[in-house]
Amino acid sequence: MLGPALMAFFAGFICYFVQWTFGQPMLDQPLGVGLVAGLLFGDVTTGIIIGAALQAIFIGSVNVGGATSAEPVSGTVMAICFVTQMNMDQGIAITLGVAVAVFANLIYSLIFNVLMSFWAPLIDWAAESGERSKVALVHFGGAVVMNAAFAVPSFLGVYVGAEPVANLVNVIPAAVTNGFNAAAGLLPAVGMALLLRMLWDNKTAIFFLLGFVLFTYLNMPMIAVAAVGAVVVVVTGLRDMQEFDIKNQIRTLREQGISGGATSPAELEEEDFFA
Amino acid sequence: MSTQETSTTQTISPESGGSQSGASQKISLSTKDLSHEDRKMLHGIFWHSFNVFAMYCGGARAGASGFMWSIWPAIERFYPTKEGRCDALKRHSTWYNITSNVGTFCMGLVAAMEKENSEKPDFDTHSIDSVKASLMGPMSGIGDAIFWGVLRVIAASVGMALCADNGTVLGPIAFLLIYNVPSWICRWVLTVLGYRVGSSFITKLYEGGLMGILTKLAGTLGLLMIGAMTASFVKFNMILSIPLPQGDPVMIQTYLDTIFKGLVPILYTLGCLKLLRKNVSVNWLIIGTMIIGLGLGLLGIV
Repeated sequence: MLGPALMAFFAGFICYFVQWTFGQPMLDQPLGVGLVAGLLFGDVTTGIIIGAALQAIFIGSVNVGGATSAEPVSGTVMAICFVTQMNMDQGIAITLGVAVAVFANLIYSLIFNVLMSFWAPLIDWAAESGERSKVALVHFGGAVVMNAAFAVPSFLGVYVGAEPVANLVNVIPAAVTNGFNAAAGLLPAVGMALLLRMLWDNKTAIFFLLGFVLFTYLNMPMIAVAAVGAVVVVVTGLRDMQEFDIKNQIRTLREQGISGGATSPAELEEEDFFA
Repeated sequence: MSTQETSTTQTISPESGGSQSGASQKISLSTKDLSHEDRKMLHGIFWHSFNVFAMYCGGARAGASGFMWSIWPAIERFYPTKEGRCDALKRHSTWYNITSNVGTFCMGLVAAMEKENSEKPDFDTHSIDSVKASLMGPMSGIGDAIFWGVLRVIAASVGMALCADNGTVLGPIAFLLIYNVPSWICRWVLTVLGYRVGSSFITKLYEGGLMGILTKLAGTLGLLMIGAMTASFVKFNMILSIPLPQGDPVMIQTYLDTIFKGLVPILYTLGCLKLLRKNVSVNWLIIGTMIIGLGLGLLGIV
C-alpha cells in the first residue's frame, strides 16, 4: 500500500498547503479535497461525488481561530483512496471518512495548537535578525513542516489499512486524549497573557473582567462584546475629550494673558471646575 | 460641560478644530492619488497577506510570523536601519489572529502607524499593540461570521448541488470561485481602507495631541476583547467527581462554575501574566502548560 499511501500524503499535503499558504481558498473543504484527491488517484468523478457527500456532512464544521470540531481532509482523502484503489463501497468509505475526520482532528489540533509552539524560538530569532530572508525562511519553512505533519495521518491511515483505522479510535487511552485536549485548551492562556502584558494598565484592567464575564455569563458573540466595548470607549472618550478641551482652554487663556484673577494652575482648574 | 462651551473651545484652539474636520473627511478606496511608494507597499502587503497563516505557531503565538511577513513591505520601507527593522519585527512577533480575508485592514492600519512611528521619535509604540489587539476580536467576529458562516456555506451549497450526482468538475470550481472572488476583493479593499483610515485619522489625532487618549481608549477596548477571547479560547473542564453514598456523584466542575464560571481559565491566564511580568520565558510557560495538561489528563482530573 506504499504507492497509494504516498498519493494520499501528497493529496493531503497539497490541500493543506494551498489552504494555509495561499489565503485560505477553502481547498481543505471536502469539495476541494475531492477534486485534488480525485485528480491524483485518477478518478475525478468519484472523487468529487465523495467530496460532495462529505461536504454535506461537514458543512457545519468550521475551523475558526485554531479550534476545529472535525478535520475533514484526512477522512476525505482516505475515503477516496479506499474507493478508487480497493473498490470499497462508497457508503462504508464515507462513514469511515467521518470517523477518521473526528480522530484526525485530535492530531490536527495537537500539531496546530501544541507542537507548532516549538517553532516560537525561531520566530524570535527571525525578529532579532531584522532580515526579510530569515522571516521568510522561518515562516515558509514552518509552513512546509506544519502542512506535511497534517498530511501524515492520511499516509498512515492508508498505509496501515482500513480496519486498524476504524479501531484506532478505541485504542488510544481516553486519559491521553483528555490530557492533550486539556493542554490544547489551556495553551491559549499563554497567548492571552502575552497580549495582556502589552496592554495591562491598572486603571483600565477591570475591563478585562468585563469582557470575560460578557462572554461566559451572557454568552455574547464577539461582535456584541465589541459593541459594548464601543459604548464604553465612546462614553469614556467623550469625558476624556472634555478634560482635554478644558486643559487646552486653560493653556490658551494663560498664553493670551486672560487668566482673570487666578494666578496658579490649581486655581484655574478650580475655576473651570465650578464653571 | 455644556455643548456651548465645547464649541467655544474649538474656536479658541485651532488645532483641536483642525483635527475634527480632518477626522470627518471622506476616505477614498482608490489608490490613484497615492504616491508610487504607497501603492507599491500596499500591493506588497496585499500579496504577502495571502501567506499570513502559512504557519500557525501554536496556541501561544498563532499567526505571529505571518504578521511579520505580511507587514514586511511597510517595515522595509519605513525603517532603513537594521535596528529599526529589528524593533518593528519584535513588536509584531506576538499573538496575532484575525480572519485571513479581513485581517488586511489591520495590516494597512499598522502600516500607517509604523509610518508615523518612523517619522516621529516620540511616538508611543504601545498604541500599535493596542490597535492590533483591539481589532482582533471584532474583526474576527465579523470575518468569521461573513466568510466562514455565510459565504462558505452558500458557495458549498451551490457547488454540492452541481456535482453531488454526476461528479462534474463544475461543482468544486463553482464552490471555489463563489468563495474566493469576494474574498480577494475584500482583502484588497480593506488593505487600502486600513492604510487610508490610518494615515488620515491617526495623523490628525496625533497632531491634535489626542494620541494619548486614543491609546488609552484602544487599550480599554483591547482589554475588554482579550477578556472575551480568554473566555472563548482558554478551556478547562474538570471531570473529577465526589461520589455520594446515595444519589448521583457531585461534579467538582459544577461547584467551580457556581463560584465563578470560567474560574480556572481566568486564573490560569492571570497566573501566566504574573509569571511573564516576572520575566519567566514564554517557552517555559508553554512547556509547563503542556505538562500540566497531560498530567491532569493522565490523573483523570480533566
